[in-house]
Amino acid sequence: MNAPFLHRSLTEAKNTFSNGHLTSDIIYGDSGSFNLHNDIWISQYEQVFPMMYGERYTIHEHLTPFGLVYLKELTGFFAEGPNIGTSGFYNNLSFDDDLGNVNSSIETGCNTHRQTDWVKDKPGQEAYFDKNVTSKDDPDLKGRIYVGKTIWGIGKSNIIIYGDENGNLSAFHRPIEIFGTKTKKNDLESDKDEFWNNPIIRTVVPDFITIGFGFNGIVGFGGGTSIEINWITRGPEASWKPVLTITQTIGGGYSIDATLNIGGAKYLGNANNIKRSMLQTNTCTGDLPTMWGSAGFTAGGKIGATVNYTPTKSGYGITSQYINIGVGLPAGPIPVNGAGGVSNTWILYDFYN
Amino acid sequence: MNKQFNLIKLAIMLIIPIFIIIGSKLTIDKGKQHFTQFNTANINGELASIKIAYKGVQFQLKNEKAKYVFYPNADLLENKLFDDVAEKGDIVIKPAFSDTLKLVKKDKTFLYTFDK
Repeated sequence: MNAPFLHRSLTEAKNTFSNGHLTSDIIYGDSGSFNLHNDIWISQYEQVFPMMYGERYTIHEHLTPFGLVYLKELTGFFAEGPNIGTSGFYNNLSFDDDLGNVNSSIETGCNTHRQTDWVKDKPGQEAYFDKNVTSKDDPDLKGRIYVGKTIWGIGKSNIIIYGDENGNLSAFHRPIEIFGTKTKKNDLESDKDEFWNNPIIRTVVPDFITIGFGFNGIVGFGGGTSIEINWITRGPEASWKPVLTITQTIGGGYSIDATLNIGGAKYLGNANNIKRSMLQTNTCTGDLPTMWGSAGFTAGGKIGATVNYTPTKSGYGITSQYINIGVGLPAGPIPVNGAGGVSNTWILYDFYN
Repeated sequence: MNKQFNLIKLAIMLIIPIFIIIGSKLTIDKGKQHFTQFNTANINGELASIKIAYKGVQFQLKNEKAKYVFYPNADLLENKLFDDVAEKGDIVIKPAFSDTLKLVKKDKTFLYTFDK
């Protein structure tokens, strides 16, 4: 199972087939999605057995009709073979160990990855033969094979979408990673994401940008309320469309003020895992509250800062910092005030959809 | 008075790291618990309620006591958020250990993968 591929030169592989044609089962994508029947070139000589697969494999360089595609398979295993019982045969020739199959082409229906025949006239190209598909019932889904289904396309984040003969669609969330194609646009998109999600850039431009207005009435003990507009700048749900939230705080200290609050929050985990629902913290439904602290200079007007911390299930919390500008009362002869406590935030309306 | 003030300052300084450590641990554990419950469940039924909770989505099926919490990604085909699209009365289907939850509305079906 550990030998990822048996590489054969195309000329060698061609010798195995009587007419020299290999099947066209390559999987590729450029702009993030494709439709099997419209976008993939299919050999006129035979059926198509689309396949994808996952972890343990080395990086592939596929020469597609439109250029090079670089694939790196990720966690899990995936293979497609809509024609179980026949994909092990090519013009009545069985793919056997001589070609790198472990065995049981008929049983799995799709245990061979065959290079496309657009390389047939280019001796020296390698054909890849997958030896890893051996089980339909791996509990970890490695080696799991979906039969009788057809790849419908590749969705966002290269998630594979497939459908059965009734047109029902499902998705497979162990995607291949297409990390490069000849398409310049893709390279640019990838570079852009890499730049935008860089830790330094995330520090400069936070994951959540917030503008709000609120007031506090804390003398010894008390509370406050604010209403905010938030923009999510990263992750799959990032959008210029904001989320309207309201925050209720309780705490101790001294803070009597009404301020405009401008700032942002950073999720300490992977930017790709940021969700809009992260904005809500509701102790009534089981969330731990956000912890906050604030301090500022007050002499009629107030300028101060507030910091927050909210835990999340990933273990990576959300930290936020806001500048508070407005009016406030000093705690004593020195024109400062400060308070700390906990808070809840509710999403009032999300303009996303 | 000064001693008392120092004790208060010390208490405040301790509360913050304690909150972060314990809070994170509790939240992680709860997240794992939610995922196990959701992942192993064979879900097939009508939505009785849906709301944002635990920074994800919590829903309950009609005639079932269990409340499921999961963290859906936007719909694979139309980029719609689950909590915006799903309504009481819609059908949700997810076989145990499946990677995808299917939301069936009257006129449309949405597919949601989710965080683990």
